[in-house]
Amino acid sequence: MEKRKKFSCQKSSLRQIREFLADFIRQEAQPMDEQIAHQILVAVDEVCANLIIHAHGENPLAFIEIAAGMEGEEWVVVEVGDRQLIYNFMDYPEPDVLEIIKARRKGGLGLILVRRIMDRIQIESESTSSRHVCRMYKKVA
Amino acid sequence: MEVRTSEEDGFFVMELIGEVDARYALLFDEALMKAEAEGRRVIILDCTKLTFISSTGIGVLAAKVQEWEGQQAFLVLANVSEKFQQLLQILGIKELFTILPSREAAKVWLYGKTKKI
Repeated sequence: MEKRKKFSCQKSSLRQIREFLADFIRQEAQPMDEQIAHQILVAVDEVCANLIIHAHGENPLAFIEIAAGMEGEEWVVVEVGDRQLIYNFMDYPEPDVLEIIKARRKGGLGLILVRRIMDRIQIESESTSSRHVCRMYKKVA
Repeated sequence: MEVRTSEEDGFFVMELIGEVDARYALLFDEALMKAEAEGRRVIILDCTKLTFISSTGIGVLAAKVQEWEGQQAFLVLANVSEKFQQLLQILGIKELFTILPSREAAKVWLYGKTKKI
């Protein structure tokens, strides 16, 4: 992974996370279609928002770590690391979008966006270090 | 994020400026609720200066549009970026919205709809 940074679990960190990723894309992953670049920002923002708000309850003393890198020339890989267990949304069928909107369910649309935007998603726990990661891959070339 | 409202040619315009992420989506929701409480049933949402929107903001918007469906109330979007439209496409909900290329186009469309009410 080429760039790595920790962010505290506050909603104000979301903008910083997007800027961190945008910088990475500008410096390490060009040329990249603007739409794809934006979708990567959206997907990672959604995962981080979920962790910050629901897993950590916006606790400013808790941190998540973002790592961004290239795998070859075709794949952007972004890893979101956490000490807390990450809800494995990939284990469940995708909910109905219109039902989520009608019920104003929080977090539902975000995870759908992540699943549909990213080409591959791995949610793993590293038993030796009590670290949990959500690793997302997007083909960019 | 800033929400600016104005009256223009008899239409209520709400302008979203900046980023509507999980931090600011509540502000947007409150602005919509305030407009509705004031009796607004026709809103042009100008997205020209909207630079980012996440699912929370989309959810707020979609819920209002869905709620107003079939109620002689209109929430139309003006000048929506390709990036935003792509997200709506990905979610499969782009057809829920009336998207016009500009404020003026939105006014023309709404005039056509509202004078028939």
